[in-house]
Amino acid sequence: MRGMYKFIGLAPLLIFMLVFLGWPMVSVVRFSFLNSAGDFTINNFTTITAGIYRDAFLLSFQLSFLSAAISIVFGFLFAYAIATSKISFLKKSVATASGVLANTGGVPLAFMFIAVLGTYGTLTTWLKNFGVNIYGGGWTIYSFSGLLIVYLYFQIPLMVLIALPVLEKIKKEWAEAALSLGASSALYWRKVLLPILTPQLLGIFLLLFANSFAAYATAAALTSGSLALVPVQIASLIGSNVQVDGANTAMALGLGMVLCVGLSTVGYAILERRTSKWRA
Amino acid sequence: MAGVGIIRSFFQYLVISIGLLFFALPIYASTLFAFRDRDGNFTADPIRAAGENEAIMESLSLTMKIATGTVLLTLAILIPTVAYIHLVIPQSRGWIEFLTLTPLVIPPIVQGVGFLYSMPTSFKATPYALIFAYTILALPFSYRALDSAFTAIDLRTLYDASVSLGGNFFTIMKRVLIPNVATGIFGAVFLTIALVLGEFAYASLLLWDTFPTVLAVAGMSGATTAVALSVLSLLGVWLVLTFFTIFNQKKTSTMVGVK
Repeated sequence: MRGMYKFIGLAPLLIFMLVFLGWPMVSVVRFSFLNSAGDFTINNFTTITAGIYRDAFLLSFQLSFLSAAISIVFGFLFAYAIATSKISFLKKSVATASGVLANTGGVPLAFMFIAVLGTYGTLTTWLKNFGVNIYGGGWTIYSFSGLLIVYLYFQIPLMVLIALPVLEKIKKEWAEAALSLGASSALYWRKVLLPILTPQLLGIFLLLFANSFAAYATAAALTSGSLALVPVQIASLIGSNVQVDGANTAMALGLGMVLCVGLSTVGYAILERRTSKWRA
Repeated sequence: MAGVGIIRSFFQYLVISIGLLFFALPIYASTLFAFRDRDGNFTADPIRAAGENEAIMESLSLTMKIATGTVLLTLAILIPTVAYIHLVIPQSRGWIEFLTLTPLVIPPIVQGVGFLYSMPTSFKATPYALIFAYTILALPFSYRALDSAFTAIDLRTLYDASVSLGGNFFTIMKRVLIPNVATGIFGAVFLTIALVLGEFAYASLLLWDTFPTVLAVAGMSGATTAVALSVLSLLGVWLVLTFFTIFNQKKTSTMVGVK
């Protein structure tokens, strides 16, 4: 019993988390297994695996997968160029800028892009002066690919932010050892660097995927709900009372999101722990 | 070999230039969009319009109050807790950190739905209920900022020295611990404020007019004002973060360690 007594100082934090995180989540789980009359049912889960809700998951999945894949490639290239450059203030200012962009996201980012690539946006007008009409073929910033471009603006900075410290841990001796043994630069990348970085890059991919999957504000502000991602569907079910068991369906969708985001994050944590060995 | 080196650094700086352009272009272009009138001259009209817009100003003041409340609640819970963890149960740091990361696994929109359907109506009747929700959302960041600050100092020695000199718990907190982990506190404060300034999911589900939700509505009607405010809020966060980084560098060398 004396052993448990030591943990008494954790009580404020634990109770706070139980009340404002634990209890709400218990409610989500409970409501997802009830209908609006309060009877037990698993109908909500059959509802969300078909029709518009299955489409919402597919759309969220596509957006998150693509934004994570593009960000990891371009973010890596950019971070590598920065990390190996000889201009030291560049590293610091890019890290700060990435921190701002990765954390700001949300509503401001959506409006900035309407100003840039919207119908009367600055870049749209410039390109038009050069004879390129990006709105000529029915494309708009409010579409899937438009939203993807905006997502890249918080995903690539997040990738840079995570990749910079990883790339700084690459030891010069690895390249020297490989090159002195006669390897070409390409062989060093293929046989040494990429195998070392692969688990970590996979982990970062999962983190970027989760980050995009959980995001809501940018999509809500940019498309006002016309692109039916999972969080958009949840908000519209909660906001309108028209559908039978609407709130309960929203809770089931929420659990689905927790599953997707949670599995990716846990995957990231496992891969991160595996790779922390060589970084030590 | 020299030729290869030149090509290499050419590509390197090409990538860097493209990357910097990618970052800077939307900020530059939206600044032009917001702050230029029809003749191409600079204008502060969108800001003036925002200043005269009561809904925007009220939402800004509400968000500031919520941010202050969230910062105070976060520090009140976390500073004593983290100090306690480092002093009494340092071996449990691993799983406690894991626990504080759980808000990251649950998307804010899902937390918001749970909050909406679990909290008593009288509690939800005030926008300041958001303070409690935002403290949870900020927890993964605020906890880590404080935890790493406490890791950097020799807490045990500081604590024992203060106790042997006759300090009570509050004196030790105020005069020994808090000055030594000031950087961690500033980190936690900054990250919490940045989060509250941008949080949208909870506020829109609970139908409160915070700055992000009002901004979202403003963007539907008058684009230039919304864009101007977006640019300003981005620059504001940038300034605070730069300030914090500079402050952080100066302080870590002098604050950490036994004085």
